[in-house]
Amino acid sequence: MTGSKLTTLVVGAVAFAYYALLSAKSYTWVFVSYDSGDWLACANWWMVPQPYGSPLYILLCRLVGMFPGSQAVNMTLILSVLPAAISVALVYAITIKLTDRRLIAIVASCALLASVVVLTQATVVEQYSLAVMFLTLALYLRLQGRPKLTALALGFGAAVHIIVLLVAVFWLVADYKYWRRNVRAIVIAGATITVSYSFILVLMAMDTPRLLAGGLSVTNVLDYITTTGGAVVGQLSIFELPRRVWDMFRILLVSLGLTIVPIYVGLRGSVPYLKPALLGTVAAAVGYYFICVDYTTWTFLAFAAPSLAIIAGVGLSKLHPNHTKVVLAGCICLAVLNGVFMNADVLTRQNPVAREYYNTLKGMPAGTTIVVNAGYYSLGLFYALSTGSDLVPIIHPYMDDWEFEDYRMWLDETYGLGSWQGANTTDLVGLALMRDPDVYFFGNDPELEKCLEFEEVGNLRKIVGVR
Amino acid sequence: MRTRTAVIAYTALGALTVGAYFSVKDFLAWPTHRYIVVSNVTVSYVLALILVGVLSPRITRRIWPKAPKWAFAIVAVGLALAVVGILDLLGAPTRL
Repeated sequence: MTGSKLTTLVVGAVAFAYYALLSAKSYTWVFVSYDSGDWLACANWWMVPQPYGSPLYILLCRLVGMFPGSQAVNMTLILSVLPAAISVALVYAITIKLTDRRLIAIVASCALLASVVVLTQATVVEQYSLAVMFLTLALYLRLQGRPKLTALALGFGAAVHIIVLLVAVFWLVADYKYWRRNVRAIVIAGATITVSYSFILVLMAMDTPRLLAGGLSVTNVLDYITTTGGAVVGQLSIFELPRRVWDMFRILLVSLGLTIVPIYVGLRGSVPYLKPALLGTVAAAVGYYFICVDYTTWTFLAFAAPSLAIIAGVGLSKLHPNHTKVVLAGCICLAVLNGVFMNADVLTRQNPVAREYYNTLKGMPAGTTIVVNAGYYSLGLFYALSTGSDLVPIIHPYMDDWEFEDYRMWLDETYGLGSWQGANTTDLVGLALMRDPDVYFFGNDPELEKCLEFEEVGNLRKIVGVR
Repeated sequence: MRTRTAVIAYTALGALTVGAYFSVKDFLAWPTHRYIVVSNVTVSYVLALILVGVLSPRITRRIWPKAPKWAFAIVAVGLALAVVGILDLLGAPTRL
């Protein structure tokens, strides 16, 4: 093994140890990992997850779900920590190829390691780490002059998170002068993405729980794509822009720290063969956060981090060696700060709200009806259902705003509620109360709560009637 | 980069980073719900209009080097419709 390969392995191993140490050791919602309930449910069940499906990720979740031990820990370590460590090692490999300077490559990989946007997603159950790894692998393969493998890596990345498709489009736009040589790559990436996402259609066609998508039909597919995604993507009001710019400025600052100086220098110069792809990736990630209503989509900035770390490495190669030492010290300081303040393990133990919610659901008697808002409470409920809890899930506003008929029919077939077409949430709650008085509410929805009568039972809110 | 400029830049960045770190760490770990101002005038449209303004003369000049000004307008309208169509697919409101 050559010295460079050994160093790459050591860099990856150190990153793995660092992220593993800071990772959450149970089910958590820290760092906006609200979707983790959905992914944990997918580890136990065949079900259509939230839009847009993440087919490759749910296949891997199912695989990891078969391993012994805690699912949350296994999925965090194998599907978040490990890919993040590989990304750090790949940034080292790319930077050393671009600059031929080992210390600079180590600093670039440290910049990624200490980046808050990457660390937060590397230490919880989320799909970002894996998608970022495929994107970084695509950058590496592109630098190696392997266009077909690059396209395959982009295709796999898009099969984990759809934003990689947007990144690929930005690569193409940035690379428009050479579009002829990219035709084959487009076909390969397109085929990979199409085949992967066909799996979601197969799941819709199968007898899977109708919790996030109905049976296979054109209307259901369109509803699935637009129900949640269409509500937020591209809709940020111009009046919210100053707040968003301020948030982005702070998040990028704490993620990049002193590397901003070499990034500035790197952007002014040339990056052999990679500059369009690096800029395209940063533009796609930053652009998405810029136009999305959801203020928690700062997590998408993780896609820009490897590119920025590589640009920083190139920038350092153009500066006096003292800059490398200063930036390295800055990265180490950030890594230490993250260890104290961005420690998912500690934060989860301080605020175990997700685990307590899950344990409460697991302790409910069989046949209990749970009324929740669509979001992290409903996804946590799916997780409990997937691990064998016999609970009746009534999710608001599935039957009100969303008119999710296949869900109502699935509820009737599975739990025999006996509802009718057009029944709303309160109708379903009324039917549930007639079957069994154990009906509990989790969440926060003032409009729905006005229509329900509650009784406090310990920390729980029991529904005793419908107004 | 001169030594003095570098020292000032790194010191300022270091101070800003530490300040930003403590102002944003809770938002990143446990964000509390906040209301967003909703309007049909979205950032997407403004960016799209800027993009159309930049692209339309370039595309027109490329396919028709001696194009009159009305040709730019036609390409701009076509591009704007295409962009609005894409934004509509993405879910952005369809009117300004």
